[in-house]
Amino acid sequence: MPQNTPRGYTYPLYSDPANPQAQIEDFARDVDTDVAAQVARIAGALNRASAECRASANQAIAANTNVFATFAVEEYDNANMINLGVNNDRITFTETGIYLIHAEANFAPNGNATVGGREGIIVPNLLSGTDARQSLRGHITFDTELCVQLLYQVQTVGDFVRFQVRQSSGASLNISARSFSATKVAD
Amino acid sequence: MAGTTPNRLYPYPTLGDRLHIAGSPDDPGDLQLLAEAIDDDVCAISAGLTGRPVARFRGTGTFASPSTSAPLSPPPSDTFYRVPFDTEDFNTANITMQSQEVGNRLLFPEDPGFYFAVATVYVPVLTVAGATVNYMGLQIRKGTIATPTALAGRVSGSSHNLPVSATDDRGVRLMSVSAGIYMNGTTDAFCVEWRADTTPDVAEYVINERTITILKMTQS
Repeated sequence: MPQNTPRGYTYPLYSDPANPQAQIEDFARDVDTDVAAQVARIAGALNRASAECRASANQAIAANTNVFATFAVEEYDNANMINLGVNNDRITFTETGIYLIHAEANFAPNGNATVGGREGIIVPNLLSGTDARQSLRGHITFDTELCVQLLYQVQTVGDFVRFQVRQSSGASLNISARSFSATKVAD
Repeated sequence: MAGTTPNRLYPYPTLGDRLHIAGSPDDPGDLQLLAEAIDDDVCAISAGLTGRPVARFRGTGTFASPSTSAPLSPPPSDTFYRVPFDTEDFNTANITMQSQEVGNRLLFPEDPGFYFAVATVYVPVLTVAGATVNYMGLQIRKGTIATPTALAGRVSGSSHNLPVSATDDRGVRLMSVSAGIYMNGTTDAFCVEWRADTTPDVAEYVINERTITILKMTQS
């Protein structure tokens, strides 16, 4: 009775009836299927789920208040992770795996004498305590720009991340240009 | 008549064929032909396994960022802020370093896809006596090789707004900025801009070595 290698390649035993043409074809097709699957897997490894969104219109950030940045333009999305019409503040994961997440924002100055700080935090919905943040002292007249990166393991499809900003100038100010992206780097 | 497999086109004899056994080195048999076809295919696949495409470009020597009195809210874009690069450390991502003349200084990914980029700039102490640094900004921007001298759109930014004296009491020496961005493979190109503001204004702020590392995250 024909046997299979661990990868599924069929081969005849000595006791099997000789039918070399069919046996060679069977073997060739097994290898073909396996190699084709590996080629697809290699291509997939270089073409992971990725998405990016941006906005440039001002979004008011009240002092000492956590606010999720919102986005207006979907620049790229090969895995249906962004749906701005439903939620304009998040990237929702449609596959499990490890993702490189990036967020950045430009804080406009408000002229307030109290300068305070500017902060950006990538906040996952699940797995609390895995967030990443960047904080800078602001400026009375100059913009403050910051960017944050996070490697995050998505364990549940439907988990999502948001970009939370905060400032302590004592008065409202705006974030203007900002972007938010995620790209899968491993299963 | 010999058949071929549907995906990788490996040859095999069909039932109507007479099984051909190798007669000489110049007369390969059916099994040898199949084995060699598989071997060639797997070797080609293996040779293409280079990992994620990645490139790093470096700018050596100094670069003087001019016009430190420019208004900085919002941070301006102008081609004379673009940081030049002159060295390709490695490049498996098919990214072309365009002319480094003033007004160009673009890094052009020739394949479309989503990219992740990190740029760094080494910032030495401003040695102009009595001058204080108010602001330093580093940005990754997206230009176009169709009109290299056109202003480039902002992609991502990083700034330092703490006052600093000539004795560098802030300790900032290396600024970095990162970005995730789609590039179309036909016109989009990376560029890096760096600028500073000082009190009183000085003619220029000279920075040292800078890098941009670019990873290609998708194939289209």
